[in-house]
Amino acid sequence: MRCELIDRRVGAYVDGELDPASMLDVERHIEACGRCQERVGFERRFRSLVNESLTGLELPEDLRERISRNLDAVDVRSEAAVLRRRSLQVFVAAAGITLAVGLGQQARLSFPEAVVAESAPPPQVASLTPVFDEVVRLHASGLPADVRPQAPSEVSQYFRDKVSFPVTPAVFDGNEARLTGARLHPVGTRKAAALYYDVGGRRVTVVVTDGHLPELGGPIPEGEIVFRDVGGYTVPVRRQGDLTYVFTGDVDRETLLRLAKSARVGR
Amino acid sequence: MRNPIRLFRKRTHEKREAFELEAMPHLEALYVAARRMTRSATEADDLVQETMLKAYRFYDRFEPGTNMRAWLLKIQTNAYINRYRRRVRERSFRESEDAQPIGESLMSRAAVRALANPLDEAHRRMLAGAIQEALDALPEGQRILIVLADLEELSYKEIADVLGCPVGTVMSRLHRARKAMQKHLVDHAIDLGIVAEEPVEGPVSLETYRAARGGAA
Repeated sequence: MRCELIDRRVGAYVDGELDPASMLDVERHIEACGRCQERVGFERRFRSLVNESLTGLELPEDLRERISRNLDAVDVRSEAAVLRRRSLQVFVAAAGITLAVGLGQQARLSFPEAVVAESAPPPQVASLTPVFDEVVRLHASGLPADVRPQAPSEVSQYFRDKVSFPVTPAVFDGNEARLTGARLHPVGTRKAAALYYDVGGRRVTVVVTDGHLPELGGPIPEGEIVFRDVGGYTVPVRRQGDLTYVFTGDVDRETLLRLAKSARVGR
Repeated sequence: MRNPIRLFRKRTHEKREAFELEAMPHLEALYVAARRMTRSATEADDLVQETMLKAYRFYDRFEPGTNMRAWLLKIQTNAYINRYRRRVRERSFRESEDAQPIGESLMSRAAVRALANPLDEAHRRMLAGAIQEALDALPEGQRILIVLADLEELSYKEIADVLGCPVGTVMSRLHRARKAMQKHLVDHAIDLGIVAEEPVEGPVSLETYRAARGGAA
């Protein structure tokens, strides 16, 4: 075999990708040819140089997390798709929540795993969780407040001629949650009042709208908290009369459920 | 408990755990490949995210027992080709590269010998820069081959599967790509004084041939 033929095969030879017969031919030639031995040496060196020159890049520091969040979103969407197929199911916080609140403020709340309550399919559901999604989007986007009230009554005043229902901000016991602003924001096809709170330096958003959420399939009992996890956020919902309060925020689920439960809402 | 939603959640959880365990460890390899293919940190970041999303969605199509890294690289390479080569007609992209003539003997024996011998750290570092430049300068299709073969060390069969072409094509195109890189590398090594400049083997004029013969032998 001539050297030029070896040149053409030396890469595949070094890669161990030649068929056994060609492998033998090349080996036989190389044993007897100094030039081609150097050639093989060079090819091996080239391979290791390429490898060491091109590796060793650091991952962008938050790439792993961003991918993780993307995968969370896939999980949430596929669950939503399954739910859509299976009519509607509502996740109701177990009765333990009421009991624990009854024990007083200091009581540490622990929530048993959410109980899945299958409700009868609602007559018409256009999309699965439009309001939940919208509230999470609004919260995550951190859109600025239209007003920064000194007192909750200013908020009611602000919304008086903007929405068809009276907006009464949720009020929380003690100083745990401070109302910092409000914004008129459509949720689905209806107008809603978004209320911004500060809870120990973290943001909590409460969206007030009238009527029932289509995704809940019907009115939820007053005083009961229904929640769902959407895109990494817990979203508790509570009804008071005609008004529905949807909560979400940068606090853990326990805190959020406790806030939703303890909020003084309604007219 | 026969609750279907709970069952679904359990399955989702299991799938996610398996994916984290099997696919996530290849993130660095994917990122390096993406950086070298795209030549851009932002595009690489984007491409890797797209790859992992697609891989997760189609995770059930992965055949257990096969090479996960190769599977991920296949998704990523195709995503890259789709993204950035959409404008260019596939045919012109492949043919133009294969049509370029290459000399079989672009390197002098002295250069080959010098680079085959152990190199000191400083020289290796200098050559690392040359190799990056050489890769960046390659046409897209050849760059992809070097990344898959020499960086990610996939087998020819795996590369053929990634690119959807015969193994023989992988071999000849890879040969071409390496030649181009090696030429660049040797030129650079000569510029740096790591190897001495010497006439290359191959077709030379009769006078040069005679002069060389007369002088040396």
